[in-house]
Formats: sequence, C-alpha cells, structure tokens
Amino acid sequence: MRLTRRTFLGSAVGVLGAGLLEGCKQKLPRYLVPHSAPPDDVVPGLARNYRTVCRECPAACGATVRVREGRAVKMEGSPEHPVSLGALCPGGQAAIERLYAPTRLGTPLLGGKEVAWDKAEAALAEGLQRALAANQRVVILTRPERGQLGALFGAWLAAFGQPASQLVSFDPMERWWLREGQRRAFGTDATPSYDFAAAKLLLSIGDDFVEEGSPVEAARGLGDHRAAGGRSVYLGPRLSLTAASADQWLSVEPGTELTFVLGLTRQVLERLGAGSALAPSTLVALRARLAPYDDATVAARTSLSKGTVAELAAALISASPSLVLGPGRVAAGSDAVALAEAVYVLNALLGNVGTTLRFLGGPPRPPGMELAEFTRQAAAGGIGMVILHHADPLGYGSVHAQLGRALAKVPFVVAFTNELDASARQAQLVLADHHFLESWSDVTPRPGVQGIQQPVMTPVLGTRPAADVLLAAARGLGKTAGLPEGSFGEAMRQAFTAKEIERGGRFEVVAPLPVALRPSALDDLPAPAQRRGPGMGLPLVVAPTIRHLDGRTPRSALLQEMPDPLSGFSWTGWVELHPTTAQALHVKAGDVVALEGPGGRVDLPAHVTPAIRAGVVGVPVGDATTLLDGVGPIGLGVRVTAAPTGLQRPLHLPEEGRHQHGRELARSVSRAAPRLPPQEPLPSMYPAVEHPEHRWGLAIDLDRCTGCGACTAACYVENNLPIVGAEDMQRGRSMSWLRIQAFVDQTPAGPEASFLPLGCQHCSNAPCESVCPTFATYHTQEGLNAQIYARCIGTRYCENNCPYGVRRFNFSEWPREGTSRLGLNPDVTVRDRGVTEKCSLCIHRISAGEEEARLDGRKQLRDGEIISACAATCPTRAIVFGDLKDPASEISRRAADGRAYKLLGELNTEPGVVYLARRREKA
Amino acid sequence: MSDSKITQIERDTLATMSSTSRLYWAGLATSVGLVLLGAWAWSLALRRGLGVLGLNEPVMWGALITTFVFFIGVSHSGTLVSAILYFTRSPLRAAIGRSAEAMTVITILTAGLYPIIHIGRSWLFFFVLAYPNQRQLWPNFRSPLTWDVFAISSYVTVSGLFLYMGMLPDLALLSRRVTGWRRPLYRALSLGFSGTDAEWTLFDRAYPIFAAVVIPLAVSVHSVVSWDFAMSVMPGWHSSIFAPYFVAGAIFSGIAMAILLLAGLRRGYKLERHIKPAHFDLLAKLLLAMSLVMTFVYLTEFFMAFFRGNAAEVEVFRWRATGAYAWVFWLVMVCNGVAPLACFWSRVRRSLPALIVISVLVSIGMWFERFLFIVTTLAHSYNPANWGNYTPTWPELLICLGGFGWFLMLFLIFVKVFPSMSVAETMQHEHALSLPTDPEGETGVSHA
Repeated sequence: MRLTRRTFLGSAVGVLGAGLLEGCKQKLPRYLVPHSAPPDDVVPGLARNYRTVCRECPAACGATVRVREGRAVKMEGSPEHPVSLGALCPGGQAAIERLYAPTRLGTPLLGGKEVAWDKAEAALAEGLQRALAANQRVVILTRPERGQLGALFGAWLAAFGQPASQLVSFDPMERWWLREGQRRAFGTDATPSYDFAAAKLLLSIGDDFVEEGSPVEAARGLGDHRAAGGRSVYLGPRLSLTAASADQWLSVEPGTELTFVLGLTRQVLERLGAGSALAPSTLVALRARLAPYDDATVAARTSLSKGTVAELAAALISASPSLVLGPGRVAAGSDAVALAEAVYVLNALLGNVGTTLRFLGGPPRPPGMELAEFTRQAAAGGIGMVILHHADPLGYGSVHAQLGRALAKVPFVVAFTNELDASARQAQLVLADHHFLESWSDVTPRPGVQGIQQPVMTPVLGTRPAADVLLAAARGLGKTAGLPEGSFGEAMRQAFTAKEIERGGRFEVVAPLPVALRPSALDDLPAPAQRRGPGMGLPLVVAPTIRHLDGRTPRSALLQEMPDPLSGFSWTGWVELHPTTAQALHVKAGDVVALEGPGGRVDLPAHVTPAIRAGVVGVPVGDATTLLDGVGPIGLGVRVTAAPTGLQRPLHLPEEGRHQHGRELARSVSRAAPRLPPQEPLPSMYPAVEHPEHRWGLAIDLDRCTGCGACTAACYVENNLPIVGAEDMQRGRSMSWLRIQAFVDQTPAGPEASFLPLGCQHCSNAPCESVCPTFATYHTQEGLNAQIYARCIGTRYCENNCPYGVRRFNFSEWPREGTSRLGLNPDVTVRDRGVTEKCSLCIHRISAGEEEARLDGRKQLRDGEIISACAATCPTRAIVFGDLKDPASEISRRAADGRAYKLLGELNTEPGVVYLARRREKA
Repeated sequence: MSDSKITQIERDTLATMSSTSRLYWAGLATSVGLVLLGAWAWSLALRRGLGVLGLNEPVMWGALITTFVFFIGVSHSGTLVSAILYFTRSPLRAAIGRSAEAMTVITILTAGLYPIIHIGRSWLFFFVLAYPNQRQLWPNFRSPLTWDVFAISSYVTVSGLFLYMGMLPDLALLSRRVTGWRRPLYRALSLGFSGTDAEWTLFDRAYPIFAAVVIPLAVSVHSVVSWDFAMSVMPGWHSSIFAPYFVAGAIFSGIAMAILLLAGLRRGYKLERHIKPAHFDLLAKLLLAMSLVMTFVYLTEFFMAFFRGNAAEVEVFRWRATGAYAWVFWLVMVCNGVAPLACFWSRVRRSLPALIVISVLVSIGMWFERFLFIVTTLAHSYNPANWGNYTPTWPELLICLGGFGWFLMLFLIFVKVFPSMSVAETMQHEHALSLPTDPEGETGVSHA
C-alpha cells in the first residue's frame, strides 16, 4: 500500500482511536453506586451504620459496620454489645479486608471445577439422595452455631430423619479442659464469667487471655484492672503479650504449673486457716490432698525460689478479691484438666467465686456429638455425607490429622466456605457461601448476650447463603417438615424484632448461679510428670498469637502484614530461643533451625530473645502444627529437637533495635509514686505555635496498652493503607501509619517488655515541616501535621528529619487486586506512588464531625464526638483522641496527669501526642 | 611572534577539535553506553517506582544523594582552580583553565540530575522552582532543599558564564577558521567579538569580576549543600561544623580530581612542557594539607559527640566506627586520612603514578565518606526500633555509574565542539615567554 497523506492520517487516527478506546476500558469498580435506582435511604457521600456480629472467632463481638454507597468499608465494635463495648481486636478489624479478598470464592466448585449454581444445587441434592438411599448418615460439621442457624441445621437434619446429634461443632479454640475442670470442681456446666476490673490481684496460670479466648473483653478488663491500681502476675514459660502486661513474670518450665498451683493452694490454705469461706470438711479434705506439695517440693520441681510461693500466697490473701485464671493453651499439658480444677479450687478458697468469678446459667449445650466421636464414626465408614460449614479441620495442619484421614473415607463431602481452604480442597462439592457481613445468623457467646448477625450489603460475589441452599435442597426433595417456608432471612426477621436487629441483639443481665466446691475436688490428682533428663529434646511451647489466635490458617493478608507485636515479624513464622539455648545450639538470630517432633519437621528462622525461658523452644501456634501430629488437640508436653540447618533467613528487625538503650521512649514510673519529673519548657527562637480553636491530639496510656495491635489494623482499613507483601516488609517498607513498638529490656529482675504505639506525633515544631521544599507538609490551625499528597514530589527529606521515624514513602504502586478495591474508604485519598504519607489523625473524621456540629448549629464540639480509628477500636481504651485545648476533655485530663510525657521531649518538637508512663513495681 | 608560530599554537591548542583518535571514539562509546545503562536503570525506577532502589524505612537517602554530593564536591576542582590560577597569574592556567571550567559546569549539570532522579515524582521536580503562578504557590523558603536550588542554579549560571566569557575570543577566532555548520554557531556564540582594543579592555575588566564571584560562590554552594544535613535534627548531621567541613571536603576532592585531570591533560595534550613536576608538587602539598584538615574534622566530630554526651549522637558515632558500616568508615579513614600522608615525602609528591594512586584513593574515599555519614545517621537515629540497614541495589549503582558516563560524555563532546585550551591565553603566554625580559614572570603586556 502506498502511503499517502490521506492513508497516513487515516491510519494515525485509527491507531490513536484504538489506543484511546483501550485506555477507556474500565476495570473494577464498574459503578460507583451499585444500584441503578438507589434506595431512598442511600445518600451518596453519607455513611450508614449496621449492627451485626463479628464472626472471625467464637468470641463473637458485636460490631457496627459503616457502609458507604452500598459497600461496607469499616467495622467497629458495637458500643451496645456487652462483649465488645465499642472495640474490636486486629482480627475483627481485618474482617473487611477478608470480605473483599481477591482469594474469596465466588462460584461453586464441583470436583474442583467452577460450575453454575443450578448444577451445584443439583449435585447437592443428588449426593444427599444417594446417602439417604444407602441409609447412611448425614453429618453437619459447623463452626459453633448455637442460635437460629444451628436450630435450622438441626431441623434440616430432622427433616431427613437424621438425629440432632449429627450436628457437630468444630471449635479448635475452645479450651475444653476448663469446662472439664469446672465440672470436677463445682459439678456445673454453667458458663464462667470473669470480672478483671474488680480483682485486685490477677494471677494467670499460662492463660494468654490477651491473645486467646475473648481478646477484646479480656483486654478491656485488664485495662480497667490496671487503671484501678490492680497488680497482675503471670506464670508460664514465655513472655507473651499477657505476660508483658503483667507486673511480674514467673518463668517456669512447662509442665510444672500444676505443682506450683497446688503448692500455692496449700500455702493459701495454711495461711487462711479457718478464715476461708469453704466448709470445714472440705478444708480438711483439701489439706490432706495438698500435703505432699510443701514448699521444698514445689521449689525443687518448679525451680522457683522457696519464697516465691509464700509471697504470692500472702499477696493473694491480702488482695481480696483476686482472680486466678487458666490454664491457657501454653499451660495445657496432659494434666490440663487437673490444673483447671486446681485453679478453680484456689479461686474458691480465696473467696473469688461469686465476686470476680461467676457462673452464668443459660441454655444447655446442644446435643451434638464430640469431635472425637465424629472422627471415630467417620473413620469406621458409617457416614455417607458430611457438610462442612465454615469448619476447616484440615487447616490446622496435622493437629487434626486423624480427622482429615477420617474425612477422606466419607463418600460425599460438601463445604460451605468463603475461601478454598484446606478442607474445602478435599471436598467433592464446594459451595461459595456469603461472607458473614452478607448473611444472617445469631450468636450467643455467653448467657444474656445474643448478638444478631445481619447482612449489611448486597453480596460482593455470586455467592449464596448456606441456609437457603440447604432449604432449597430440602424443598427439592420434598422434605419440608419443620423447616421455615421462606428464606432463612425471613425466618430471622420473624425471630427477632426490628428494634433488636437494629440494636444488634438481645442483651440482658443474667443472675449468677450459686455454686459450691465439691468435697471431692482434687481427689484425683495425676502423678507429677517426671522431669526428663537431657538428650530428650527441648520442651515445646506452642504459643497463641494475637494475629493468628489459635493458629487458624493465616488467611488474612492484613494480619500477615501487620507485624507480630512482640517479635515484630510479619509474613513468617519463627522459633523463639533464649540466648543461652541458642548459644548451646550454636544458633544465631536469623539462622534457620530445624525442629523435629513426633509429627515431623519444620524449618523456621530463629528469634533469639530473653522473652522465653532458657531450655524451651517457643513457636507461634500456626507454624507448629506439623510437629504435633498424633499428639491431639492440646500439644503440650511435646519435646522437640532443634538444630541449625546452616541456612539463613534474616528477619528484618536488627537485634539492637529491640532494646531502648536507656533512651526512655516507653517510660515507666513506680506504682508507689506515679509521677515523672516535670519537664521544663525549652527555650526557642521562634514564637510558640498558636492554635486558635482546637488542638487535636492523642493521649496514649502505656499502663493500659497490651500491645494487641488493633489500632494498627484499624488504621490499615480506615486509611486505605496498601499491603506491601513479604518482600517489601522484609526490606523495611511497611506502610503502617501506626505501629506497636515492642522493647524487651534486660533489668535486674529479668526481661521487661514495654509497648509503644507510635504514629505521627503531630508536632507543633515539626522537623518535617520546615524541610519540605514544596510545602507538601504543613501545620494546620487545628494542630494537625497535614500532608498534601498532590503537592508532594517525594524528596523524602521529611522522612529523614522525623526523629520518630513515622513517615512512610510509597516506593511502588502496590497492587489492589480485583474486588479488594471495593473496600477502599471513599473518604480517604488513595496515594500515588512516589509520595510520602503518614498518620493524618483521621482528618476526614475530624472534618465530618465538625461539619455535623455546624449543621446542628452547635459551636462547641462534644468531647468524644470525634474519634480516630485507632482510639475507637482500642479494647483497653489506652488511646484517647481529643482536643487538648478543651480543658474538660479526657485527653486534657490525661495530659495533666503526673505520668504524662512527650516522646523525645528534649528535641522540643512539642508533639500533639501525649504518652502516660506505665506503672511498674519498682523502688 | 611569527605567523608560523601563531599557526603552530593554533594547531596545538585546537588539536582536539580537528583530529579524532580511536581512543576518543572508544571513550565516547563507553560513556554513551554507560549513560544508556543508567537511563535504562532510571526508566526502571520511573516505571516501577523507587522500589527498585535499596532504600527503605529508616534510610531514605542513599547512593543517589551520595553521588549528588560527590559531584558537587568535584565541581570545585574546576572553577575554583581556574579562578585561583587566574589571580595568581599562573602560567598553568592557559593550559588547563578551560578544561577545568568546563569540568565544573559539567559536574554541576551531572550533580543536578541526581536530586531529580532521586525524588519520588521526578516529573514534578519543577515544584521546587520559584515561578510565579496563579495559585500563588511558592516553594518553602525555610527548606534547605530550596536553598540548594538557588545555590546550585547560581553556581551553574556564574561558572557557565565564566567559562563562556573566557571562550569568547576563541569563538571569534574559530568562526573565521572553520567551515560548515560550525561557522554560524561560533559566529552567533562569539557575539560579534572582533578583538579590538576596546573590546579587550572591556573583557579584561569583566573577566576578573566573574573569577572573583566564582570563588565565594563555590564556598557558598558547598555550605548550602551541607545545610541539607546540618539543618536537620538528626544525630551526626545536626552540627555547625558541616559547612566548613563540606567546603574543605570539596577542596580536598577537588584537588584530587585536579591532579587526575592534569595528569590526563598532560598526557593527552602533550603538555609536559607546561605542566611540570613542580606543579604536581604544589598540588600534592595542598592535598596533604587538606587531608590533615579532614582528619581534624573527623576527629572533631567524634570529640564533640562524646563531649556533648547526647545518647543518640554518641551512638551514631560509635556505630559508624564499629557497626555494620565499619568497613566504610575504615576505608574512608585510610583513603582520606592515611594515604595522603605519603605526600610528606617529596619523592611521592614528584612521582606522577604515586600521586595518581593517591588521588584515586581520595576520590573513592570521598564518595564513601558522603555515603558513610548519610547512611549511618539515617540508619541509627533516635528511635532504636526504627534502626535498619541499607544496601544499594544494582539499578541504583547503574544510575550512579550512568552519571559518571554522562559526565565523561559531555566532557568529550565539549572538547570536540569547543576549544579545550584557551587559544588567546596560550598566545599571550607564548608571547610573554618570547619577550626578552620578564623578571616577575608577569604577563602584563599588550595583546597580540
């Protein structure tokens, strides 16, 4: 073809047009508002809040979900729900991230292939018919569902002539030994309820209540307990978050906790004499049973000094009421039930039952069979069909290996799930269920608290709710007896009033049941475990962590990215070794260590830290599962061998950054005189910065902070922080605006951990502001150190000049795949690569609050009306947001406290963030 | 002077413009290759973001800023040397003045690239310029980076004018000698200079002004660059010694670079007659003196840190000498503090190979010195939990290497397009030499 002017122009226009059209191709999101005709109550730009329940763990905190333009963007604790009282843990904060996760399943899978829903439902019906025709049993294995959904499952099974016992709860987090111990001590199945705040002395027997159980409720209790001046002691082999929050860490070898508690009980018994509230006959019986546990024996077995037990016994008696907790996962060895019983006996002896430890009556546990029984039956081949409902037994590694092998013998396994987890991979039919924020249910974490889980938005993907799929299957087979006629959602609307749904549940105060210690308590003590000699390997401590709780497969990218508060590691597991242990094994920090246990071998990088007892190997729970094959669901009393592999996997944090080097960043004061020396105002050449109306800031009480990191996770979700991935985290390119800095300093009394939640300090004399050549960062009249992303050219001078090191740089444009864009908070700019960012003190929330007050015609803002995302979710109320210029505000009250100090005050940066020193036992 | 002598001088001085050796083409090819590599590495950073660099949370400035400061330092070797030689009426000036001035301009043009490459959004670098705009947005005049923009742009303007002004007579001469595309170029650039006495009088009055302005400017630009660091609050940076320290460092690295340059020109232009061992001896003495000054500064920094006792500062200096970058520290000490001590021996001062080795060591040492104080301070500042390390990645090093290629390329193009030795001054010099008596060695004579 001859190229003439005409053809040239023609083809040029064609190419240009094609290029433009290509550029116009829109990816997600297709529509800003996912409605063609929006409902009347959806106003673009205005958020709607829905009450529901967080289902990330069985603690089932009440939640408030903020919905913008039909999409859930943020989850907060529900202030009315007694469990959460407005706060959530990091896992709850990450729920939004998981709702929009690109890994979520949107279509059913039949034999591993994506199929349409009608085919999947036909396959379900067919499988069901086959099992029924062969007269085999159908079992539903579900996460704990004890409300309407559980009832529906039971009714559904009944419609097919299956007994109710075939509804099995799978709750790997459950600390069943506590229930057993309670049954032995008090003969009751009632739900225990703890009052941390009222207890003057908390003694935790390896109970990491900040990390496991009901983290929000326990942490809040601990915060109130500390604020009221309470003391706490932690007994266990590892300095966990809970131990770090305690005033004293008694480091004992795993397996000796029972001896310690019995010795302690004996001491208390002797000191109290007849002063105890227990019946004299019980006291006589106890005294006889505890006689062998004299001080010398206890000291010899636990390697604690003789005085320790006596001192603690005296302290417990004088601090009435006290509270003894445990055993938690790290203390739950083969004697876990006896230990739990001993802890209950000690509480009864101290008169705590009825004051700090109450038992609430409630509906009896559903009659489902135990997991062990189910495993046995499945292995025997009597079960024709298993429906897994958000239960992933294989996701716990080989802890449930037997169950996994048993499942393989079931001819037809159906999985209702959000993601293709380990168990769903074994299933013949995988049905993509709604996320909990898209579906109905109700949860009763304890008597008197019935939280309602309601859909807060239209589903993200083409999923269908499990209840309705099961109902449709029953209708298709003509088995409708006892089942609701409409959808499960309609049934829920009938079961609860609109008011209750709006409120998020039914909450009532339940009177505690009177209980009494059985005279037979402690009559069946196991023989103390033999101390094993060297050469048998090292005792393994499997530690629950706040990020991965009980070790459910790490599924959330946000929780993987968020550094573990104590170790600072992200995207990896690790093995904790005491420096002396590491030296003996010839292991240095970052060396990959091969651990071999009864179940196999794992290779993990070493974290050499004084925060674990010498001669003990600590592994966060998710990474230890392989070691525990065949041990059963507890996993203690296991010994492993550890040997360096010669490989290196350096962990990002330099070892020397784990200590304060005497710089007093996270400060502490003595409990007796909780005052810091006053800081003289420093001279300055410049006039003081004026704030005419407000001076927004944070007050962070280190005495309350447990280092749980909920603030960090909340900040990620609220402020659209990118998740940079393992490689960039390893390089030190975390984008978190607020992080927990943990220091473990050596003191004469042993290692001392302190936490410092650190974000932008919003300095009045900000070093970052004066050096920015383009005014991209500046000080607002309301005291914020603001960042104008559009003006930032990325010189990074501000980051260099920030003494706190809290500014973040967008090194890359980190991907937000597929649906994950839908979860972005529309109130917060998504930053481009090449610009600097940092904590904005939730400036969009401040503007919204001020705007609301203006619309209401109010000149004055109420204290607490505006609250930053970190302060909102802090379970212990360690973080408080407010106006430092308002003398009546909570933050001003805290700033005037004798414990208040400014970080690196000697630099005269005049931060807007006030820290309150932690109270410690010291002279 | 005879006409043939004048032609001879013209041929000698303009040799680089007329004949092109294989070595030249090889040098040009190498430098262009390095520039292309560097450009490709930069394009990686532009396409994927600065994540391709080794920078991370505590260490936000690294090899690129090091190279920036290094080139700013090297720029001293040019204008300052040339201006000082001018005022001392040194005969050397005729031979090396032009190259030295060109080197200054080129090194600043090279140095100026690095802040632009280094920033997160290079395409918006003009935000730091003070240009009138409707939104009344100005750069922050409190920021040392804004000062940098003014200092460096002033320096490049004045040293560029100094170079250009000195070249005017030569350009006028060239416009009469050449044909083709160069003729209109030189004619336009020569601004109608025709060599009349009135023009020479004006020239002689104006030229010293530039020479005089360039010296304080050179001092100011190094002081201002040092304030990028000294004005911060960071331990190890926030120190009043930084301005003199930077000026001394620039002179130090400038002399080392001047020795290398002279050695190269002496060989390349066959200037053995003009550049004598005595000249090198003088430079070596100066190098030695500056090395002692640098050692004093290093010791003062340590002394002040420990004297003041600020925990963060003490830790930074302790870590500099013993931490992860201790090898850099000791390399710097050996290169900058110990190696030049050899110049105490006159045999070393008069041995060109020895001086070349020492100068190369000093240049390496000065690059690493900047690397050392930039990185160690950032990596180990106030907040221990924020401590980290930094290792440059290969794209980063390629960008640095590309800068050296860029510098060499511009220099090679310069010597091909413009006279690299001053024809006019050489003639004056030769003329003076041919005069019967010149007891003071001064060239205060009328022009040819």
